[in-house]
Amino acid sequence: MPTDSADPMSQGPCTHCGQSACKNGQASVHVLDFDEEGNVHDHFVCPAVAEAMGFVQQSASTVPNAKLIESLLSDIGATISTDIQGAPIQPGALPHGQRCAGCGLTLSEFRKKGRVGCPRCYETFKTHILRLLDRVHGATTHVGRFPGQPNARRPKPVTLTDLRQQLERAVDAEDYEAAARLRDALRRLEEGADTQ
Amino acid sequence: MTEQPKIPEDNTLGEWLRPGGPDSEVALCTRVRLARNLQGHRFSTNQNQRDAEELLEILTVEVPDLLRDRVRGVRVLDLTGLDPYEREVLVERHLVSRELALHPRPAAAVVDSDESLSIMLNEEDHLRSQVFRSGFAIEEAFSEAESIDDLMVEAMPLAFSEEFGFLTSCPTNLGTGLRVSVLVHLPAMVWAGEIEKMMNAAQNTNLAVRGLYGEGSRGVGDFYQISNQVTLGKSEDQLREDVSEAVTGVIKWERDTRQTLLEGKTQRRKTDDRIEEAEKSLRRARALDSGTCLDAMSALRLALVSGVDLASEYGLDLDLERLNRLLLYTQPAHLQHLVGRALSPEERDELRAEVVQRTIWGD
Repeated sequence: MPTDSADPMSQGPCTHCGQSACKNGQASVHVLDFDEEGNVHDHFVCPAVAEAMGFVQQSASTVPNAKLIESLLSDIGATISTDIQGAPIQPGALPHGQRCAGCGLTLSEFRKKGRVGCPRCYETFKTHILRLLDRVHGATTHVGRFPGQPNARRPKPVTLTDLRQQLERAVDAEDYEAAARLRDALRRLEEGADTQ
Repeated sequence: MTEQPKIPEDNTLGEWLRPGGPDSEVALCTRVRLARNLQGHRFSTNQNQRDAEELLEILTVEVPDLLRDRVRGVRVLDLTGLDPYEREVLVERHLVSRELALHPRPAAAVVDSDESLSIMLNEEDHLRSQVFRSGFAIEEAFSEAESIDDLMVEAMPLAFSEEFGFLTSCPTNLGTGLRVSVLVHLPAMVWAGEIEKMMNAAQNTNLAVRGLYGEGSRGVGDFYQISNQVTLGKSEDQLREDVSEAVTGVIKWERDTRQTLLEGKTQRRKTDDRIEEAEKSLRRARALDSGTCLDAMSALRLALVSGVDLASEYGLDLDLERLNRLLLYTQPAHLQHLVGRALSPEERDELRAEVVQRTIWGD
């Protein structure tokens, strides 16, 4: 998944580029690669190398969604298998025969059709789908309506860490009223955690 | 030709072509679509015949039932027994997608008598609700779509996950399943060469721009649909806001460009020439292809909404409703529907010319 990164770390030299293939040798594209186990590998590369890896920006308004999906899916497992000199970076093929227990769809069929077969496929092919979602939507998590609920995401459960951070901020800001409220909330939550 | 083809005056135009909605001199229609699937069933793209029949048996009963108290004149259109051109009539009326019309799997649509609502059954997703509103009216359309969605949620278990939202057959529709689309008419921007700039701007903000029937970059008749491209990672509020903001900008852009084309002396002369050319091409043609016809109607539509007196300057008896009626009935399948049989492209072009001339200039 390529992202235009503003991270100053990424402005160093391209990590995969030979002198001959790179015009400026500066890495301006951050590629996050997921392997079969879902581990993330970072690559900071220059635009020429990103393109050689198959990360060409598709024109959103002219490429029909289905075609876009097909082209993106055909990349899965193939990208970053070699560097631009052809040396292997991520050996190992994807388990194309992997089958969804809900409907029997295989990974190869999903790649070919660009469509999943049943709700359960989203769990079966989750690793691959997450990469795809990031490239298509620039996001991997739903932030909208829940069935039968108003047009808003359910409030995220408050964690002890959230409350501790808020308490620290309130103390720093000398907002003692808020700090007292947060301290009480923290105590209630801690007691609740103990009883569980 | 033995038929006496004339567009029926009393036939409903459908909400998407009803004139008079907000900003309707530029925005013809707003459409809000929600993609949903039933839990416990394979997605439509992975069914066998029996899966499809079972699913339709449930949906063709449940969906009209839950709408009956809310929507006027609910009926189920079963696509199975329809001729290809009859299916295409539904596509041209925007009641079903081309995907639904062309695919051989069993499918249907539940529509209301105003054609302001169409719920496609067993399209790429089990349920695709579409709500139409005349003009630029995203909030009204969304509010109705949301209410209908609430009814569905109560009536049947929908495929949903907290992480991914509403689960869809294609991951491009995942999450909200929401597509907000506004159909705009941009003749001035096309004539002034501004359209590429608009399309680039839309693309940079993750919006899609398509033609009247979803075709590629150049919109026939200068019609363009602007819609959100992503459906996941943004709330319904944010997605609506994104499209709304872009369309507001495009409407202003088109209005400003129209003003330039109609006010400057040289520009005005060129605009008048285009209108005259359009009038001639419609009046004189023995055969009229779809592209030429739409381009001419685009010029006449611009003239009408800009206050050009077509009756006294060009002898044209035309108002927006009649023009919209023509826009629909000169489409290929509607022409065939008028005479009740399939026609070759050449026959259609001849009939198109005849229909236009009868409608505008009488017998």
